[in-house]
Amino acid sequence: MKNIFEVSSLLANLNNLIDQNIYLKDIWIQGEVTDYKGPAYSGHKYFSIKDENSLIKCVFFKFAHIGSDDFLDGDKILINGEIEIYSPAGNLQLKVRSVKKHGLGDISIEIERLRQRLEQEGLFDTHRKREIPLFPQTICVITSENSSAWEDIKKVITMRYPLVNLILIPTLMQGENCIEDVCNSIDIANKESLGDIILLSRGGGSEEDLMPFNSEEIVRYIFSSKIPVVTGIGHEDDNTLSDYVADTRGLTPTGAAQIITPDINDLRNEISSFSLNMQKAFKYNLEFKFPEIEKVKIKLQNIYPRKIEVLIRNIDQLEFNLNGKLSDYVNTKINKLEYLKHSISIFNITEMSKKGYALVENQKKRIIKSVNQVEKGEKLKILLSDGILNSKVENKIKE
Amino acid sequence: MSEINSEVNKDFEDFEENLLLLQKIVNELENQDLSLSETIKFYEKGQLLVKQCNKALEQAQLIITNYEKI
Repeated sequence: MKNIFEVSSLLANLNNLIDQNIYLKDIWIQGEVTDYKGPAYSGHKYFSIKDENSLIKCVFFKFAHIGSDDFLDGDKILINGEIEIYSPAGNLQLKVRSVKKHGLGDISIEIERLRQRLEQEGLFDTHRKREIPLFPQTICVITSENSSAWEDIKKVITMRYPLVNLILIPTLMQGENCIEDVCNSIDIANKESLGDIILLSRGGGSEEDLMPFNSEEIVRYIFSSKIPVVTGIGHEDDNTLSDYVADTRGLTPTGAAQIITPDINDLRNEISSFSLNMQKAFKYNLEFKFPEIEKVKIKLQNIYPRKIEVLIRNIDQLEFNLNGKLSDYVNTKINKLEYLKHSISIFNITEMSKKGYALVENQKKRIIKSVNQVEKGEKLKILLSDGILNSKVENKIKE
Repeated sequence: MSEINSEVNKDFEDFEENLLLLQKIVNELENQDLSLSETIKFYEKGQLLVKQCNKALEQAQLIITNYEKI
């Protein structure tokens, strides 16, 4: 007897056959979008994908849209999804998981496969992303030393937050040894604790130049880094797997440097606003919470002027007394000086000669004060007020 | 409260800590029921922190070092 199927059971059987084929459950198809008029009211997208000879219907449920590219009718896209038969219409269709607009080449397919694998492994989970310190003390920059990226980073950070230390690990950012060198630099930064943030950055370039940053090795090193990693790779529209795994992503080197540093002008404003609020609060507390302060203030204002007045009066009196004493002292000294002056004048030689006293000197011009200083027969000079007597010692009589 | 009673950090590296402490002091002065001596103590400490933070910003100078890979 012939095996007779109901339509539903036939399609259910066919779906079972499809389910058993693992290739049809995780399939990659590239082609051109057609019959697409934008998302339906439900948010789901219904369209077809075709090549020159064939066409397959596609359904892309709203919940699966996250992380996929937008597309329009006529776009060439790469789809990942699974084949099924939609029983109510009897259509073979592709249930879409993700859509990528760019890169229909083999490399892009490889990257997309890697992205999905790493995503499933949890490398891009937002909950595992490390926190970026608000006020970094040391930023370890992994980039090429003679690059515009490095110049841009230095410029931005000098202007925004010069409190920080920058440590550059000069690194090859493109070419053959780039992957190994970048991984090595991330490793060094971690082993030697060279910063509280790693900034992995390079300027724009060709897809080929940026390709190392889609490598599994670099992605895994970023993932394993104990220090949070911020990327600033290429231009705004460049997306690499390193950006996905990074803890924060800047769109460019400049953008990344801005994300990780506070602006010094904002900080200045913040401090002055704290200062102002603190003064207001302090004044308010003193005036309203402690009214006794006001009483003490008034008391002080009343007491102090009186005290000061008394002090000033005392000082004036002291000054007056001191002046009196000083003048007495000076007068005494002046009198004493006058007396001394007079006494000296008495002993003035000229004055004495006038009174009949004379000076005697020997030939060596020494003044003779005693008979012992002269010998008999020695010539002496006797100095008088109006002249000199030359004389000779005839004899000495000592008294 | 114990943090506010701690010493003011004088190093540049403690800028963040000083700023956070200043913020706490302002909050305490604005919202807490403090004694007179606490009010004065907090205010004095806050003034010192404002001075310290501004000094850190004025004197800040970017230090750049190149790491030598072996």
